[in-house]
Amino acid sequence: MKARQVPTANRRGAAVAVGIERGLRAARLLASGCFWIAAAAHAEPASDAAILGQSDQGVRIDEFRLRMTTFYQDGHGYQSQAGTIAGPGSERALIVQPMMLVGIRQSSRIHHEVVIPIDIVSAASVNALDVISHASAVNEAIGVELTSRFDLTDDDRLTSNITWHEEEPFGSGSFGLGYSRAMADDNATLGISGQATFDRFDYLQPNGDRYGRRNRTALNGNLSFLQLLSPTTVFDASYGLTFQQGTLETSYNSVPMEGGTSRAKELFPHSRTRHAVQARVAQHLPESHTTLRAAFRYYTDSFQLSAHTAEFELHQYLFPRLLARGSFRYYAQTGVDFFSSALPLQTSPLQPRTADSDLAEFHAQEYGLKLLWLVRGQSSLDISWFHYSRDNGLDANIISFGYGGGL
Amino acid sequence: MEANERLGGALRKLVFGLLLVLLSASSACAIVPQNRRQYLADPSMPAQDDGLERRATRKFHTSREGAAGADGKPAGGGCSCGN
Repeated sequence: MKARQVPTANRRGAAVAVGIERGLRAARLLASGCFWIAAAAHAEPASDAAILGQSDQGVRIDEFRLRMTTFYQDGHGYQSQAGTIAGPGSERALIVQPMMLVGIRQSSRIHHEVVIPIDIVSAASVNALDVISHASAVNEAIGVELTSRFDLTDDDRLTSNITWHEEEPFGSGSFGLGYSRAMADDNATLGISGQATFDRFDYLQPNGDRYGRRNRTALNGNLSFLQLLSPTTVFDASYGLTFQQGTLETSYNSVPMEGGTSRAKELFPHSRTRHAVQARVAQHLPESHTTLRAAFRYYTDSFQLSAHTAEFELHQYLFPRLLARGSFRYYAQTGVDFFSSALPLQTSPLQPRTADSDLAEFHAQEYGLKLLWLVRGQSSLDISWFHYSRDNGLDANIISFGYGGGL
Repeated sequence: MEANERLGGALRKLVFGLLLVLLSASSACAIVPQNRRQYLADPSMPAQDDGLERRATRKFHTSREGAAGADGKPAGGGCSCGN
């Protein structure tokens, strides 16, 4: 059967019309102020399964992720003994953190997530007791975290989590429960959760001696709220309350005494109440294939430490499967009210004191870049780099590689 | 003492604001139908964040800063650091 012949002039006219239409479309994109490179890029729409959820296919692994993160930090803190008696000591450390996540779908309404994190901390100085125990120059930690989700109804979800963590001088276990309810056709979600954490650790002294074991407990409650504001805008806010009790200090940290001839052991109050409120918004711009995200957190606690955190992220598709992210984070905190880098000699031995640079007054800035390649299906490969800088003497570089996603 | 009262006042205002948002949400109407949510499922949106990356970032910050919390996790405990 012969194909219908279209007159050559008509075909040329149609091609010109299509060309003009494409040109106008490209011009509109450029005129709208988007990046030139975005004109060729587009986000692939999510599959029906990703949006609507998988049908019930029995027990199967539906997510697998691997991540390798390396932190290298350099700086000085008065709590560290890797320096002079009166001055700040080194906080130099290299931390390698491989992690694995496996998602297991038990049924259409039950899902489990297992995370196995490993931490390997290598301090450059074997005298840096604030980073390592005196037993070795390298400290390894391993943990298992199991989070389960139970969809009670289409709108009600129950979550549970159990965590176990073990490292050379320290062990920890925690469990938690949460409930969330989706409202208004899933446009809003309210959540409430609670968690209890029990830590047990060697009571290491600044000179390396061990005086038995000590405990501390953390009880935590959270409220969260998420609202879809438009087809491209999401807002969420949350509040967290944590109450800690027990031996809260890092027992091998020390505080320089006035005069510069000796050091005292760090000592914290026996309890701490902590409040934090956070709000975040994310806006996707379909025309330029850009997403802007911003977050703010306010924190205060019974140690008189308060902090503000502001975060901004720009996500931009460079090509249909290549997503770039630039981020900036600003953090400012007041110090705890018992911070001192030169403790008066007449201070009572029972009076709280710390010289920990993490609890001093400081400002920190962090900026980072990330490239994410959407490999195929829901899998992705990414590489990211962050630089973190504190104005009280700590700098860190973080490099991370990740692979995995939904199966 | 004065700083304490100021912090307490600021916290009360923030909690009040959060409660206000929660109350307004409880009467939220369906403004985004299910068939218009493809952009919310984009890999750049918060719902698609990598849990392992979020965990690594959180651990880095909580072991070097005095503040934590409001992310569904306890602000302390589970770490050998005293922050």
